[in-house]
Amino acid sequence: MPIISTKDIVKVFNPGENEVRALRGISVDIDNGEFVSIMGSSGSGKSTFLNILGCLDEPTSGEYLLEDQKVSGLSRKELSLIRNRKFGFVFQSYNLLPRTTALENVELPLVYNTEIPSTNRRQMAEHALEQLGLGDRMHHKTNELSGGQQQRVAIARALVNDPVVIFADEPTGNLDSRTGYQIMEVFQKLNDSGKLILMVTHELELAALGKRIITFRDGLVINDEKVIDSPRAIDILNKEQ
Amino acid sequence: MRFFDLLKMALQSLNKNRTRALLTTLGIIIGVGSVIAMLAIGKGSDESIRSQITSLGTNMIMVMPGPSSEHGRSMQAGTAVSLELKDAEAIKRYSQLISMVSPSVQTRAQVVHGSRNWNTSINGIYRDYVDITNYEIGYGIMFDEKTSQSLQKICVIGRTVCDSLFDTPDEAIGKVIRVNKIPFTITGVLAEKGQGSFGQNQDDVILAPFRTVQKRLMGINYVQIIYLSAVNEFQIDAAKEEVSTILIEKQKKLRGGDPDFTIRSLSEITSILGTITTVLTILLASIASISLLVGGIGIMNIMLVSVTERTREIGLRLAVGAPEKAILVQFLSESIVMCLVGGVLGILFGYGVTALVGKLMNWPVVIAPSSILLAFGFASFIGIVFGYFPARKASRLNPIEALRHE
Ligand SMILES: Nc1ncnc2c1ncn2[C@@H]1O[C@H](COP(=O)(O)OP(=O)(O)OP(=O)(O)O)[C@@H](O)[C@H]1O
Ligand SMILES: [Mg+2]
Repeated sequence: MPIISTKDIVKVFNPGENEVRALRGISVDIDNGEFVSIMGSSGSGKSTFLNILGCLDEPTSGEYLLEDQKVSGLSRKELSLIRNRKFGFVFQSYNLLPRTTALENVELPLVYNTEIPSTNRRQMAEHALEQLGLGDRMHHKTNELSGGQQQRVAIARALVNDPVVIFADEPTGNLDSRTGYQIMEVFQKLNDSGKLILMVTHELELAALGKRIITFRDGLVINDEKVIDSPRAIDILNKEQ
Repeated sequence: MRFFDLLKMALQSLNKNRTRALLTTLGIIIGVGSVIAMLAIGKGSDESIRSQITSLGTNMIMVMPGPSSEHGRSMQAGTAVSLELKDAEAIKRYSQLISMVSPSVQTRAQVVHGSRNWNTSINGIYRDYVDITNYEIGYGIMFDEKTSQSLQKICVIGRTVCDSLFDTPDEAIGKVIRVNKIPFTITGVLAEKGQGSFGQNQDDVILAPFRTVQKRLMGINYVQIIYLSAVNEFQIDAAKEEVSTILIEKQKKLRGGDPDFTIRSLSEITSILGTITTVLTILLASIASISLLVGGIGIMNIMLVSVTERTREIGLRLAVGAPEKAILVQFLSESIVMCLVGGVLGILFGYGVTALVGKLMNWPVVIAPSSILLAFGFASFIGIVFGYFPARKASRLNPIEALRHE
């Protein structure tokens, strides 16, 4: 049973005049434990697709099954619950709360998780930050951190609720290549531990670090292939030194 | 979402825009403060008028000549001639519910002592008048009941009259003054009573036996006002009924024709004035409420700005799984916190203004506990009402559009 299954997903922006057909029928199945890289030229609909899978946006038509459950009929409240418990998001522009410490940023998803007692939040957030090697930066305000550090805080935030899927839209887009590989190393480790990862990227070398590459063009999937023997990001980092 | 989280979040984000939050709160502070101050001024004048009227004598009833009309009757006496001394005597004789009776006439007169003179009003009254109207004797003695019914030329004088004619009150006792050239011997000086409820100086007066003033000074045969006192304040209406019956009987028998008099009790006058001060209070409070309303609009304005500014933050919160309600409550609690803080500071501010007005302007002011509750309740109400629209706007945002907001 695939975790994510879509059938003929269509997304039309501004229906009527000025219509943009961003997605023109996407059908993919994604199984547990996959690490999917989504590629394609600018404007091909990658982000749009990722946002729909992440329940941040709704398709114009088509069917989306998440763990065999139809997403289209769900209320805003049910969608927010799914985002909170099952998903983690990493954005190109980090999207951290300004003038707030790394720790508070990571605690944010826990604040909206009523299953977790407030006394546990801090410890869980600290744990997630330590996992990403930010143990010594926890009390720094986000504007006091480098881009790579900020993105790692964002990843810690995506991890802290122990989600099923992590969505990452060009997570390395604002980072230099070395820092990019460091982020990829984190993703690979998370994938090793069983997390499903969906990542949009423009760089083939980074995409090749995943286990499957889906290529978009003009709102359609034009290529979908498995990566055989994907290299480890840590090896590339070590080799460069 | 727990209550504590909400409060913390609201305080944190207000703290990030401290100056702005403070200035917005200032609108509420001024609004709540002025509502409290206005209510205090209104209530103060109401109470002071009531207490001044009470000082005239709570059980007092007045019988005046002229037809009774419900509205617009002039309180001026002496325009009609239909009451006479016999009416007063009849009331005294037949009434069960009236404890004191005094006829009265009043005129203005020039008073001379030695080289000093003074223009004042002289009242011809019976001894009971002093008790009905709550006068007290300060120096010397008040003439007795019997003397007050005689034609003797004696008088007691008010403090203002005393001060204009003599150096000290003691000096006045036993002296002879000329009232419109007629000599009167002073037996006593009244204790100071201060300003009446209609602004008149109650100490600028001379009291003399009724018939002395009626016959010797004025040369008339009628009575201007009959002052009465009911046995107690609960029997005032019954007493009025009784007096009315007695007078109708008497006037019919003696003169034939229609009875011609009006009976007014002090409680009626109190309630008329009470209505006036209530209207005044409502007026003042409504004007003050407008500033509270403006404060509320300020809150709404700043919350709308804040929602726009923080659209990305809202998008992020939605993305990490904040339910719509949590966003709504988060923004709502910010405006409520501002209003509650504004409410508390506004109450203090209102106290300050009230005290200042009371002191500088010498106005009577009374802060009622209910006005504090009212102002505070009003402030929270405004926080919720004006905060709701921006908060709802925030909670309804589409997550991805919010995240992409520039
Ligand atoms: N909110 C929107 N309103 C109108 N058109 C939109 C909106 N969002 C995306 N589009 C359009 O949909 C198409 C797909 O956009 P999308 O952001 O998915 O592209 P992308 O593949 O992520 O591109 P890039 O690599 O540049 O990020 C584009 O033509 C874009 O202009
Ligand atoms: Mg994109």
